[in-house]
Amino acid sequence: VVEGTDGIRALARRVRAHAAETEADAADALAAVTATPWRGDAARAAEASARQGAAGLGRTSGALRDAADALDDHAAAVDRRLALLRALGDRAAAYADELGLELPDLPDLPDLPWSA
Amino acid sequence: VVGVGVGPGDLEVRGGAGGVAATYAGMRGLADAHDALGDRLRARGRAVLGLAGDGDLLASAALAPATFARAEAALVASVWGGDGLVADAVRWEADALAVRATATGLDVTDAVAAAGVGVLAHHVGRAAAPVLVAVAPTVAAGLAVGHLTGLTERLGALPALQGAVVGRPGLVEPLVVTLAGSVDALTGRAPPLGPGLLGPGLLVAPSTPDPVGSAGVLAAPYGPDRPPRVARRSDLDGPVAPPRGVGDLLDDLGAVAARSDDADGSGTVAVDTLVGADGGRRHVVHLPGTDDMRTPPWGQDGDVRDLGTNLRLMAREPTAYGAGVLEAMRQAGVRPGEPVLLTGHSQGGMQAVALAADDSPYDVRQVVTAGSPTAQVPTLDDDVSVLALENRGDVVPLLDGAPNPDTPHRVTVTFDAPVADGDVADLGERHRLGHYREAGDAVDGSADPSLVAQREQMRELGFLDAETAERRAFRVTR
Repeated sequence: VVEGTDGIRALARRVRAHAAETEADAADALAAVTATPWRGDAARAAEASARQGAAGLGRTSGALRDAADALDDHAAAVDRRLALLRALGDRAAAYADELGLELPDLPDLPDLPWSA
Repeated sequence: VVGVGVGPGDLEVRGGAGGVAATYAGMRGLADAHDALGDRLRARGRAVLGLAGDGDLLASAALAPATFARAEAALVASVWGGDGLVADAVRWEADALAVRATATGLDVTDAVAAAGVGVLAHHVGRAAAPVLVAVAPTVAAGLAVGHLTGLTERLGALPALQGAVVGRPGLVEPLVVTLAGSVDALTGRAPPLGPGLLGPGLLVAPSTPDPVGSAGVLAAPYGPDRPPRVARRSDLDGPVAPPRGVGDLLDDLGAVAARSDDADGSGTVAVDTLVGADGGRRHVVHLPGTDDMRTPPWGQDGDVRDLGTNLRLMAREPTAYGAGVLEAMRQAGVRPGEPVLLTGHSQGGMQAVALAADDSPYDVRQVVTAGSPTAQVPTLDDDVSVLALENRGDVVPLLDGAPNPDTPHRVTVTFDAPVADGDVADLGERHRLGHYREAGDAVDGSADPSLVAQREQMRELGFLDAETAERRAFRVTR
């Protein structure tokens, strides 16, 4: 039973935190490479590779933010659907009132054989 | 005699924070950091996939299936996609492998190159041994002794040879290894090589050059050293100015060395106890160099700083000088755990490095040597730093037959002290402590990262910012 979207929005926040960590990792990794007292062709190649790697981490961070946004979009869609269901329930109750009907309580149903 | 000056720009620095070993260590550290990043990215990927399987999220799928599918796809793409966490992890781990392999390759190349030169020189010496035996064994042994010890005075009558050696200091270390090879062949430590073996034989049967072992052969006639006698020199006791830099430390060493020339002054050492603003105590111990270079094995007397001590130190054997310094420290009230800095010129530096390497009750944390061979002590604890100053043309620091180890804690500073007007650049002039005093000032003014790190460590240990300094002097004899 889905009663709200707080859980989904919490997931989005955690994914955004991972995105921020990944961005910080990119900066740290690049700083570590440039701080290493190393010169020559191999050093230049390693630094170039690290710059590409850091750029890749930046793109990954963007992908994580996209995923967080998608979770927020999903939460918003779920909120809209829940609001619609609540409105439908309210209208059904109001219609029953107009008809002077009293909706009976539903009886407890026995467990279904495949639900155990 | 004061030279015309050595400045920070005249220093060539090896080892220490900016040295090759530090570079390799830094590269390996970088590879470790890359590996750690790969581990973090993989763990992050697992965490994100865990979020994709969250119960609330899955339960919401029925309410908004289209946005649920897009969110799930975005989460999985951030982990497994081309720009995802797993791909990033693999990339950084691959970089780690490449950096580590490069560091190992450079390290091995250095070692092979150094070993190659040494093996070649040693083989040349072994091949030359029969010729030396046939032609002039006495001359060969004399040269070997001279070169392995301190040929300052021994070669004093050979100005042409002095000029050749002083002018080509790069030849001295291979020459020492060559002579060690001859000593090994002459004494049976290694068989002589025929000329044919100088070719392919080098590649199939290399032997290890061992100047330390060869020095042991030369030291053997002197026998084990006797126990020291340590007497106070109260005439030198009293407050002194606390050192503020390497130049001051070497200035103090020079002052102690000068008093070794007093009548009955040979073997003089000094223990300066420094007290900082925090009340903490630390000690600087000054070890001057050789007093008597001409002592034959049958003529050893009370002078502990003699030729036999040079050979014993080169062979890494115990000396009365070293035992006497430890006894002087005890009498001066040095307590275990209090930081100790040793300074030494020539033989004094050899002894200082030996004391730093060997077990003792004292906490030697820093050594400053001036014109001393130190490569005969290949390893030191990581909490011991050595700053070795070497004047080009001074052959004494080259008599170990090998470059000083290039490690993060051992820094070698080479400089070319100008010759003062009216002086001749002979072995004695090149070895003069005054040049090293000037180089110490240059070290104090240098921005080289290895030297900055050395000074910083000395300051942190309280050797360069004490409020008071009290000297206690001793005379060590045997």
